Amino acid sequence: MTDAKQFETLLRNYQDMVFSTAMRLVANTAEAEDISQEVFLRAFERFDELAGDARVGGWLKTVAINLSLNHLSRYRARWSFFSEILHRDPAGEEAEIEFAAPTDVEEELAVAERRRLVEQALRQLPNPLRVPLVLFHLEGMKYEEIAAKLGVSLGKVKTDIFRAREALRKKLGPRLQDDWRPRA
Amino acid sequence: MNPELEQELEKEIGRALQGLPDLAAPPGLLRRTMSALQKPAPWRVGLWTNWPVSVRIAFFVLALAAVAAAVVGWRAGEPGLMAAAGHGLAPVVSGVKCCWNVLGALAGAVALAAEHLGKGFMLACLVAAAGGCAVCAGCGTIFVRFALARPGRNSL
Repeated sequence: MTDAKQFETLLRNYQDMVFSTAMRLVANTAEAEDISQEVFLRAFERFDELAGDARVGGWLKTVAINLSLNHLSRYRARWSFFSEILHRDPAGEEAEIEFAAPTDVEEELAVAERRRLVEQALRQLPNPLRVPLVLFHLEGMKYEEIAAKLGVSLGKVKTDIFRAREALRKKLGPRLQDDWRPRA
Repeated sequence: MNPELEQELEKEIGRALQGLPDLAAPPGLLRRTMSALQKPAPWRVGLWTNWPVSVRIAFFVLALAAVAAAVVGWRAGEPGLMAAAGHGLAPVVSGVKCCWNVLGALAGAVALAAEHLGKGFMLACLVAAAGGCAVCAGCGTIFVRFALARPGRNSL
């Protein structure tokens, strides 16, 4: 198998994981796609070392997280000031996603739909709340690691994650109590 | 908030988030990445030593021509040389000469000032100018950070 074929196989195997990591951090499909492409271009440069290495998934995830955080710190701060003036929703973080009546939801909504709603609620969180929350719950990082990664104090990380959980609970409402595991 | 309630909330959110499967990557990602890999990087972003030979030769000739023009411009005041350069090149050569004259005059003025005012004074002026630049850059940075900062939020 040629290098190109091998790399294409790697790309197929890990593209969803890399894209998900970037998407949940930057909350923008086009930006997450650009970041994913950059991750794989970097992987190709080091393909000789990575090919056949069991840690390739971890390497790709780390690079995806780093590039996403770099992207957010480089570009988002410059534009969000203006975009927030123009588009800030007064209800903002307090808005709750509308659900059908609980009894109907229990019967009608599939697990996939519930997950879509969580993804949607996650995307609606502002960056400073979403990023530490994702790093903690989805990337399994500790508070101290997140503080070091984001260059903020430990207290701020804890506060932001707490506020993010609260905001997510408000958005998801009573559905948060549901069993999120797939049904047999 | 009550620590127990806080732990309960952490568990609830953790359960909801950790149950999320990977999102499907856009269908174009694979094709886009593979085509980006197959497309060679443009020569101009690589090292000079990796440029095509023809481009390197052309660049060398151009650099040589620029140096020659500068040297000729410096001596353009000499009547024989001006005549040799021809009437067509005269405006270009005189422009270069003009620039060199200005630079020469400035350099002469600096040398004269250094001679009369002393090296210590000139050094102090240079330090003051550098300090002024640093203060301007620092103020600009502080202003931008302050303007873009949002209360209670990190830099993300």
